[in-house]
Amino acid sequence: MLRSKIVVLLLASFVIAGIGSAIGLVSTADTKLQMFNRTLTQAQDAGDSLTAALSRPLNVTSDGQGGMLVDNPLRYDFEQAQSSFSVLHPLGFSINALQSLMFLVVPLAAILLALALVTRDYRLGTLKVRSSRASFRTIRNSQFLATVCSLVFGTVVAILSAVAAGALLASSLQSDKHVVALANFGSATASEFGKTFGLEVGVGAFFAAAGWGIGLIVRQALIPAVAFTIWDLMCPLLGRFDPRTLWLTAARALLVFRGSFEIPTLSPTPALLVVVSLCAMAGVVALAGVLVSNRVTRYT
Amino acid sequence: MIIARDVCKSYKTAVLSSANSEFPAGQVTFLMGANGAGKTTFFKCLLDLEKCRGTFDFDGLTFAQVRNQVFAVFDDAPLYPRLNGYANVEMLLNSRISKNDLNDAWKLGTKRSSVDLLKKPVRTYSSGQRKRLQLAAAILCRPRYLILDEVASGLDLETMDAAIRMIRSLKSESVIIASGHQFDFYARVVDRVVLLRNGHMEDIEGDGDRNASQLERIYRAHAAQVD
Repeated sequence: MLRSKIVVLLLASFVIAGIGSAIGLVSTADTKLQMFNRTLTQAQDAGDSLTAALSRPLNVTSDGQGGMLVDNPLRYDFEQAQSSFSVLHPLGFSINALQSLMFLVVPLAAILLALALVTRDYRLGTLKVRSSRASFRTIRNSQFLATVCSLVFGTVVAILSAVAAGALLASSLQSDKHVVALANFGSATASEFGKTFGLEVGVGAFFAAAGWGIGLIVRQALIPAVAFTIWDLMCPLLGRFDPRTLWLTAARALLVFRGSFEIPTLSPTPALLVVVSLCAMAGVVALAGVLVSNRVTRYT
Repeated sequence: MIIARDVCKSYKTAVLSSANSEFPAGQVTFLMGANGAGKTTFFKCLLDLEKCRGTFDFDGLTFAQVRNQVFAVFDDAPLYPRLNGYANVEMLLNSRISKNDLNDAWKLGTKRSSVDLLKKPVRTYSSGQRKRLQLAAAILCRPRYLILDEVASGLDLETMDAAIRMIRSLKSESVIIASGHQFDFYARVVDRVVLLRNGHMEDIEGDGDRNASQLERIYRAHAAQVD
């Protein structure tokens, strides 16, 4: 697997994304901590204390111009800092890395990798030798499986990168005197990690199936890869039935977002409709790919 | 034995029209035909690379049942350019191989062949070396059914001699069908000639011992005359 240049590129992008997510998490915590320290100094100069501020209620209201009004800024900044610190542990880094990857890196990586793997044998002409010795169905299925396995492997590598980078970066923050008081580690749970990992594999498998099916239909990678990249980066064409929107809807229903990644407010779509729509989309593209590839020549 | 029965294949026009023939084991059958006669199309149908009408019988079995006993060497010798020779043969044969076995097969019985090339990516190989690697893969898997499509083109004299030795060594246990236009090469290995013309196949009678000029005469007398 590592002999493939595209898999190495995939792993490199996952490592970069994993480290990037950890940097984002730690720098957010650092910013929030500095803000809290500033507010604390100002409050202490004014004769207030953290203990007193925490005993008073906190009300946050809108100022009507897109801003907000906070009646207890010391408690607000404390809770913000506390919240950002609560994810600075291996599980928190892992979940944040998964959430960052899920909607930005994984769809693009899955579809490009599937396209590259499924069209390679057509492009090189090796399919005519391989499919005379092994069943074409086995070859096709192994290409899909290789895509999903590569994505899972890349995800694990990204998690490890995020945890390593996060631990290294967070160690400099943890020398701060307030950290111990602020820290409320362990709010993220193993089941939360499991759900996030499962959803990420689902997103990867969905887009891998799409890339696999399209690759089998068109038998060349460049044009669909460019078209998908433009679509993915620029225009969600199908509104709330756009696949990425459907996955965001599923993620909002299933996951807790505590880290640096946030998802936009979405119009509600029934869970059953989300599942049926996603399965139907992947199924139709994959089935079309199988039917077309059964009919066209494997002699290229 | 492979038996082809009523094989029909059309693109915009008919290429194979009810082609029938038998390809016995222990013999090398030379499929002779002009360019465009349908030799490669016949191989595509035989190897299930394209759908066609008609049937192929592989010693009473279907292609799907014997596919792991089949190996085909094509004119373009397709390989994975970034992989070395060993990895390519493993991919093509869909199985693990012993490096020593491939080294022996690569030498094809010659003395001066270095196996160092097998460690290099295949993109550095010449077309003749690529074909030689596929012949080595054929020796390794010792296929019951061996298809050789234009196998002699691009081979140097030494490799050609080695390929002839390889074909002869496999002949006793295999069904071998070869096609091409290098009659001096095929004359040294073929036992039987099947002519493919106007979509039909016909046996060319002979004593089984032919030379290149005889093959050329047969070609000029029959194959080149396409209706």
